[in-house]
Amino acid sequence: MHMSVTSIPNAIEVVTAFFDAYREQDVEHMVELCSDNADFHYMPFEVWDKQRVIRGDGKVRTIGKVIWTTLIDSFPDITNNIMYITSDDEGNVAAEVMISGTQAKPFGTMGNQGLHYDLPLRIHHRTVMEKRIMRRGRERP
Amino acid sequence: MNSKDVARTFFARMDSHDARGALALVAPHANVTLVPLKLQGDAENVGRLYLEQLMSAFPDLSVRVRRLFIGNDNTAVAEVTIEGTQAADFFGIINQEKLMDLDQVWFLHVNDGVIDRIKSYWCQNRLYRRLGVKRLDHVTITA
Repeated sequence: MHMSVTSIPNAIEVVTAFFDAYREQDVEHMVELCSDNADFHYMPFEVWDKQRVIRGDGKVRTIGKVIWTTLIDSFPDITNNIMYITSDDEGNVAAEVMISGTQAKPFGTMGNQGLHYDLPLRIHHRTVMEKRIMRRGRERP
Repeated sequence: MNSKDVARTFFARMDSHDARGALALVAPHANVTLVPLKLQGDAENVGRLYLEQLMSAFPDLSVRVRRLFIGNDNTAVAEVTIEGTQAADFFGIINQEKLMDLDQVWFLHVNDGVIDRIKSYWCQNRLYRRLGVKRLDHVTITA
């Protein structure tokens, strides 16, 4: 799909700035672009233990920050490219983003195989009030 | 119908196991991309194949729209959850009669009341986990 940008410059600008910060591996700035109580849903993360399941759901400032920091630590050359982004007049933004990187350390239950990956993801942000990201969710193939 | 109504009707017909009705909302040559399955083609082929396999493999399928908004480029962005019990093979996944629940995202581009482009994402590893498929990624660390 060709790159296209439509509507709500402010909402799209916030989300674009978020991915700029991610590309620069600046987790503090990624977090700053989200509201204090922004929700975070990282759907690929699901670890099954004997009596419980741990999911990547919570808040940006708790679960989100840890996952981004761990990802950057495990994939030191991690980068991204926004392939498509759209929004409505209420601050909803959906983006298709290609995340790429080479594994250098274990991530979650995945041992380090030193392999490179290019993974298209669908990411949804909701921005309201002060144009900060209130909610963030992602799904991957 | 406006774009939101088209999208809601599309998923309501999926929920009713009406593949033909859902495809009636889609232009026959609409480009369909199912990213996790690495499938791309037109609605007549890829779209029909996916819907028919989904409905035959999960005869008790339910499709629930969790969130839906329309982008200013007329793309309906829908977060849906599908649930069902496997009763037949599904895109190479052998039937073990397991229950699956899967969150998906669909991009439906609507033009003059007709869907003319579809792209869908979900976590294929989650689907494999639900259906009892051995993990394909290299799991070396266990809790």
